[in-house]
Amino acid sequence: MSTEHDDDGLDEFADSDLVRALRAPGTPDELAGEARFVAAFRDAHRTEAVRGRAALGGRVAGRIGVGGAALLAAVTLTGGVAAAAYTRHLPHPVQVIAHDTFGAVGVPPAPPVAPRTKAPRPTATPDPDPTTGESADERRPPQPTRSAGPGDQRSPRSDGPTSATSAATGTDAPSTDPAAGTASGFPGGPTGPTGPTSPGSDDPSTDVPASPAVTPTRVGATASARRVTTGGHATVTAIVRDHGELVEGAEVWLLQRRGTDGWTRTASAVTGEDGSAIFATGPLTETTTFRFAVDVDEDADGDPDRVLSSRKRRIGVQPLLTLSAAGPILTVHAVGAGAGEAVTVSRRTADGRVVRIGIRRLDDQGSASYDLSSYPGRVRVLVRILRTSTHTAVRRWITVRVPRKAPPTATPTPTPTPSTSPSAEPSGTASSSTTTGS
Amino acid sequence: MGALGDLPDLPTLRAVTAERGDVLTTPTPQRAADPLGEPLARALEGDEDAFGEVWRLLHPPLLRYLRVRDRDTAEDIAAETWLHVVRDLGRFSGGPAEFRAWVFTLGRHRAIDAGRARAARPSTPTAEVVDIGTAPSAEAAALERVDTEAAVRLVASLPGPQAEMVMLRVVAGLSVAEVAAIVGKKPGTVAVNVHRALKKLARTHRARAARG
Repeated sequence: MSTEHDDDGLDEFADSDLVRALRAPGTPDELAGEARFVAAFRDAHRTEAVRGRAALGGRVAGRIGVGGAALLAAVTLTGGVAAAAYTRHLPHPVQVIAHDTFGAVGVPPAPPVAPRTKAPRPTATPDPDPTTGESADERRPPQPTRSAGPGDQRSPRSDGPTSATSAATGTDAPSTDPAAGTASGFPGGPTGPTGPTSPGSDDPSTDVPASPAVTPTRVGATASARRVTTGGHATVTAIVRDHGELVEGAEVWLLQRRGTDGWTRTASAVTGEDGSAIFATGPLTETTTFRFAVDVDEDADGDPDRVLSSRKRRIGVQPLLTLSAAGPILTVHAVGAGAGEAVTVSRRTADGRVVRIGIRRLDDQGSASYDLSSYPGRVRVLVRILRTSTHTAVRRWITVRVPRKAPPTATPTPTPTPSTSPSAEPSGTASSSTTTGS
Repeated sequence: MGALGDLPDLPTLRAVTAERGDVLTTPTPQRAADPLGEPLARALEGDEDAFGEVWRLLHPPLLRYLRVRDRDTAEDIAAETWLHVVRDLGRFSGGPAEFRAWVFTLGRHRAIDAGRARAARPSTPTAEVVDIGTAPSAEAAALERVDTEAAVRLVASLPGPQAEMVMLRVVAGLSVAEVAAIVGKKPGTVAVNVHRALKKLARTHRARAARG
């Protein structure tokens, strides 16, 4: 979703040769591999149907055996960058659920419409590449490391190919077929040497169809960011452990709470082989708190007995603040803050204190203005919108050059008067303004 | 307070004047809908042809983005990304903007991982720029390839993070906020960087084309 502040030159350069070249429709070279990927799509779609049936047979999910540790939430915080940084590599698989799609305040710039490729339409013959592709995919350098610790009580189920050395022969057919491209539990490296800690000793829990003796004891929650600008995205990651061992195949529910609303179950996913499930949010428009829940079935009767909860993670959404000035009138525009919210204007006094000189309310369009006529010359002011339950605070300093002469049309006033529209300035005014992100 | 209904509507947003540098400009009118939307919806239902459309719309941009990061591995990483997408498509729900963000985020993560693995065996990246003037003429497809190829290389000559931001904005079709979230920078930083880069590169690109 594009925000209102795409003032990074894209519009200005959209017609330039450079941008048009960058956005040109795909060349025949680039489009050559279509058949292979469409075939992969076909296979995956077929497998989804098969796996759906198999799942009912109790392959994995949250029905896990006996356990009973105290409920703890393991916590780790990541700053800015991807959740992948936390898990050292992009987990296989990534389950992505997008929600909050209504948060759009704009639409993305339209790429040029790609004409039907001139390349010959791909034939229907199934391309053997999906298998090769999958293998190449899984042979990638960062081999997922098995859970730490000796492989005795190996919680994650080892799918066939990786545990070639262990007798994990009982796993379900659909999940071990590399060509089928299943979405979860896909091992890293069907042919190469097994992962570093892949145990020689057999894990009895890999025998199927009995469910593995695994009980989640912890659900960790991390968010990719603690704050985003309104309209921004983030990812939240759940890590499920059984006494420190990563748990694969646990069903994790994402719960969210926006503003002052209650908790709602938003989406669920199944943890991959590194015990994690990642959720991507849609564009966020309100401060949202997340947590994860895992149903635990202690007595193996098929019904959940209790629920493991992670700690809460909050992602603050910061309004987008734009300041502009025409003459002495400072205009504030905020996206992501509500009408009627207060905007304060302050300046620093000679002795260093920051003193509020005015307060306004955002109108229905999210704007407010302030007349700085009583501060001729250059004045540096601080504009702030305070935190609410639905958004974080945002503040911005801006320097405004206020003309010294009062315009003939306006009544000079010793004190600033509120005005919502900039008055016409006959004298040449140097406007200084800042467009802001966050 | 702050609920969705209080957000200003699009025409009003567009009416906000923005200042860039010392120049007050009016933003352009609302853009057209994303052509990815319709085929994506059908592909999510399992329509194979629709998926082909989705792929044709996004694979070239993805390739070009990855090429800017690293020419040699772009094809492989793009392929892995698509296999990943295809595997997890059943769990995706959302619109074209989310899908774009998802695909490019996946590609980016894989590129980062591959880059880390390669860090043990460093090789000098080449970012030579093709002079369009000396490109062979001939049929339109070849020219188009050269134009795009040259443009991509031009962007690749920028510092890494800046090049990435430009590609995610221009080619991936992501918003400033989305790009900022993906690369972990402030939206303002993204906007400034992209603007500067485009300004500089557009000039260079024009000059080279004129010389041809």
